[in-house]
Amino acid sequence: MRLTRGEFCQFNHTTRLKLLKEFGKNVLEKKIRMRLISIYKISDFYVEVYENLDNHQLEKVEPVRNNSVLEVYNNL
Amino acid sequence: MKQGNVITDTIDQIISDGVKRGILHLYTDDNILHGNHIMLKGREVVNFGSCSYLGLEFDPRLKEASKAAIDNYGTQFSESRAYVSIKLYRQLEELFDKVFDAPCVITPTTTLGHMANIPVLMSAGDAIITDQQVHNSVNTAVKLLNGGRTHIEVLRHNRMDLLEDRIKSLRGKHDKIWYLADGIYSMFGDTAPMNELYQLLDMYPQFYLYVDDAHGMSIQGKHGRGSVLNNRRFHPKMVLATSLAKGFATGGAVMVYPNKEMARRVRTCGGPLITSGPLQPAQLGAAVAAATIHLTEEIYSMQDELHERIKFTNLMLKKYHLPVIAENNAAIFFVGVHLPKVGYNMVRRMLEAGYYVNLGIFPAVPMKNTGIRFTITRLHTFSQIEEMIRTMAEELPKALKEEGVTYEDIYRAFKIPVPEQQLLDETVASVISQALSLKAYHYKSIYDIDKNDWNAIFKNKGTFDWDGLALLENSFQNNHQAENNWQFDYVIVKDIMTEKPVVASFFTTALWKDDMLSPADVSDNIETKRASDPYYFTSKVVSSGSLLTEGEHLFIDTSSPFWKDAMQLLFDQINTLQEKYNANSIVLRDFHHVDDEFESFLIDNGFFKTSMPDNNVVNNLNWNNSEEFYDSLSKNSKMHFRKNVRRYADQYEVEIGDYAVEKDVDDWYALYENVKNNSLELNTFTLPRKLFENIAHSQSWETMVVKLSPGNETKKTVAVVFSHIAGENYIPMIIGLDYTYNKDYKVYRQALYQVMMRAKILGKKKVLLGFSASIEKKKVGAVLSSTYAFTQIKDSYNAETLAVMSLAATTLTK
Repeated sequence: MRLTRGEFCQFNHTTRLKLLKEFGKNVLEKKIRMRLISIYKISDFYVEVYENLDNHQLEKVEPVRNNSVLEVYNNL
Repeated sequence: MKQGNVITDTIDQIISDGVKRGILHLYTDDNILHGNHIMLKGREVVNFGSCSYLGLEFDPRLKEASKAAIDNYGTQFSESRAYVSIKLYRQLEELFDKVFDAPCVITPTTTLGHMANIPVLMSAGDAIITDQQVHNSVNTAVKLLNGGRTHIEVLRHNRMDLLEDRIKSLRGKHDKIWYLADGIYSMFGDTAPMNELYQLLDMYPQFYLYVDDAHGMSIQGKHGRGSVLNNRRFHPKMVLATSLAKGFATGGAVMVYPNKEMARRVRTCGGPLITSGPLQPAQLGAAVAAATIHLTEEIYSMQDELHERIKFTNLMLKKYHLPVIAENNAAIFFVGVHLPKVGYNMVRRMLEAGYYVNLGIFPAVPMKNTGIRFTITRLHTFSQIEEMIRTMAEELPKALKEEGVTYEDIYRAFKIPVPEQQLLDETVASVISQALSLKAYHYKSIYDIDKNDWNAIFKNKGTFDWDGLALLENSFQNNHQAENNWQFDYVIVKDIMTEKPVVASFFTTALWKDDMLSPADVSDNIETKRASDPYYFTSKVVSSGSLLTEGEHLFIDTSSPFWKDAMQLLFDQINTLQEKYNANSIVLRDFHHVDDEFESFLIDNGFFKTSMPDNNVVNNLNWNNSEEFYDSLSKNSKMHFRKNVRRYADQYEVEIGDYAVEKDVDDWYALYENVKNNSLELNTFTLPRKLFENIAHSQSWETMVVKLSPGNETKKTVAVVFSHIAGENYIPMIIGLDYTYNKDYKVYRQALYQVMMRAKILGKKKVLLGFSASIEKKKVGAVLSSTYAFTQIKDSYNAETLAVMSLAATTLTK
């Protein structure tokens, strides 16, 4: 199954996370302050997920434009 | 056989076929159900047929409340609600008043709710307009109305422009005009155009709306009020019926009213609320728990979760290029597959691949609009949805190829444009396994076919030997009236090796009156409208044979191992003709003996069986003169013969009109017109004069002229019978009468008797007396022979409207 970025963005955050878990691959997970940052690869793009560990709210589930995102996080 | 029985038989045949193939009337094997998996025939499958859209049936709060209700009130409380209801009922009613912010009445099922509502709310002075696709339970309740006195009509599905026209036309004659529709239609999942309906409600004071929103309940709207009330106020001229057995997950139904008085009246007078049993404690307990959830914010997150899945499903259906009939906001989806045989094939394939989907088949949808119906619930994961749709996309081309159907056939059947992608994939046409052994020959005229070849197949089968067809072609072309210009097409499918025909027939494409076989009252009503619009309720039909031929029109050599493949080639040819001539229906007619295998084969190919009028045949011509004919009759017929035939016989003379001149044909045509204008039993267009001229000069036909000398008056022609005489049988096809003398001299009966005498003189074996007037024909020794046709209809609106009109006429004339 291949979703485009545009199609992925039609869904709400909860659904996006479910789609990532069902169809994507978690390629990075990093805790930065009180935030858990996960990067998923789905179809041919990456998605950044921010979860606030204080209140367990999803703050961001957005595709990233730059596919070198992994490098950026690995260098942090 | 009655039409209703034939339809029941067809439904029986289709459903029984599905049962035999292991895809209908199934039972789950599970001891415990949870989630969306079920065990069918030892195989675990994902259930895509559940209407419990929010998955609340497994919610622990509902289960606990149900158990508690049984502990407190027992398994049932067996009293009519007219007397006493348990406390939970009041609790539930109060909760629903809050859910809907309007007065409610709870009923055990939605069907019983309609049966309580409709006869109480709608009266004989009202006009009822039902949407063509409204749920069958609504139509069932409409049939209970006032012994047929209420005006009922059918509206083309969702056509608001036509609805407004009908409101304008009916408002001067009726107290209220009710439109009965579904909020979400249960097969295709499309919705009623509520904004337009509200505009009409506001615009026309006499217009009222009755909506069944069974599939909308819980999944949309404030407190889960449903699709109709989603972001919409409750209209003061609307009644809403909705189900608790779908998204709400408990069983039961709720009827919602614009005012307390209406609710009170239904609660007091609605039949099922007086005599039927109540909802039982287990359901009531669960319903109170479900309604309580509906009144919290939680319902909105459940709705969101479902709608995200609906959105995802629409996206996947597009991605995988499946022929979806409508993109929906509801949780019901319908992938068209065209014919029942493809539907059976696909459901089987999906089951084998681990997915249970519904077969959408006749009578829920028209035969040629068979499809795979599936539903999405909150319990489905996104990957389950994607995998199911991917599987369907992989399996559909295989099923289509196996059954000789194309994507183009599907889109054409549903009247939707073929997507470019599908056209590109359309390289595999209707491939039939044995096609290499068969060849279909198509001819546009009988003159293109060798006379001996045609007669070798059809001699003695009816009025359509080579000469008979030449006469028809000469008579039904180049006429002024559109209805008398027929298209002729001849198809012979031959076995290439033996050069022998396996299947053969001829087809005429012509305008037919849709009410041809309707009760005379219905035709009478329609004919008044035809005075200003001559083609009102008429449709183009591709028919085997013609309106002027009788007999076995379809030749099938069932001893050939390829006969079914040959029939598939014939169907391809007929479908091409239907498209070419833009015809609405295909009719294969005049079948006397239909075995199960043949019937099943035709139903798989999208035909349904209908009953034609009984055919009258005289088989016994083993007598030599009038006296012996008399002796051959039954006791009652003998009495009739003495009283109505022999008594007047001396005053009649019979001539055979061999040398007709123009004036004779004019006179005969006038007599024919008398009969035509007096008979609506078999309502057809008037035949062209040219036909009679051709008959008068044909070797295959003869004209029997019956003359009468009434009293001392000179001889007058009072009856004329046009009969096909080629072959073994005598076939009187058309009659003309002078009704002035019919009552006193029993002209029609005399003509029938003279037909018998003439057949004997010519040494014929049988007399085929055709349809209608069976009682009279029985008196000359005719026996009834049941005759069937198999029909495919593209657009069933006219047929459905006539069925409603016929029902009203039948009820009235009881």
